[in-house]
Amino acid sequence: MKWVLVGVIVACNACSDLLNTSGMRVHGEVHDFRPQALRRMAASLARNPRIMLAMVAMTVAFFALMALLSIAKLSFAIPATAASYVIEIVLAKYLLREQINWRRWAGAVLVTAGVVFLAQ
Amino acid sequence: MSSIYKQASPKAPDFQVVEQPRAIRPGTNIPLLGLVLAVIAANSAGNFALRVGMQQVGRTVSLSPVPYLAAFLNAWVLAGVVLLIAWLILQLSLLSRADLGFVLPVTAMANTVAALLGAFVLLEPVSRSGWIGIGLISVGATLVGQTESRTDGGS
Repeated sequence: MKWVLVGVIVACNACSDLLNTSGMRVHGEVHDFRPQALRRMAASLARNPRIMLAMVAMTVAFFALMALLSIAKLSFAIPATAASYVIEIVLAKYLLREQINWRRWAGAVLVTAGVVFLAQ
Repeated sequence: MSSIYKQASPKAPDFQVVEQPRAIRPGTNIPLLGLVLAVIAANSAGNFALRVGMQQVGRTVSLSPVPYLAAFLNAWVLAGVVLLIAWLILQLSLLSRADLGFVLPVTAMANTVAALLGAFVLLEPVSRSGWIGIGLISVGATLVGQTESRTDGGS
């Protein structure tokens, strides 16, 4: 059961990260963190369909994480759900047109390997 | 004519307000490194609080939303949710300023912080391979942290 939950979390996290990045590029850079600026940002993001779809994926991932945390250790649950790093880097390269140099590939591989070690 | 007004159409005599870029007050702009650290802190603390709360609530695997909503009555769960909402705002702000390929590995440091909190605060045992994992994630995050944060043409 815990690996099913890990799969749901990984898939939903990948979808939400890609949609969030794409949506925030449409929105523009955020530099102002005063309360009124954050309210304006929230109102703008509520009208952004990519961000709204990402929120749906994040909600599913969140409840799956709550279920996973109730049956697995924190030191298993969080690292195991981070297994999507390399997949998301590949998707970022081809869907978001990001430049992934050797440092980023190496970093993603090291992080994924670290996650595997940490989950054991 | 003032620069903040322009005529909406020949038939409409009223004027349409054109939004001007708002100036950022000095001191309100968080640098990229500060934003990265805030994302890591909010994520680690939120997941830690959620774990403590869910340990108190007990096993919760159900398709019904009721057990999950009932878990919100626990103060640790509520604190975890508030911290994760703060993390979401910070993460979206970070994604608006940096590549996903930069943000993901760098903020993966939250995993090592979560594991260290589990080891030293919740007294969950961390094996030798766990410590190797923490080291690998730290090296990977540091490596990616040395790359350009934005490569898609954004400012």
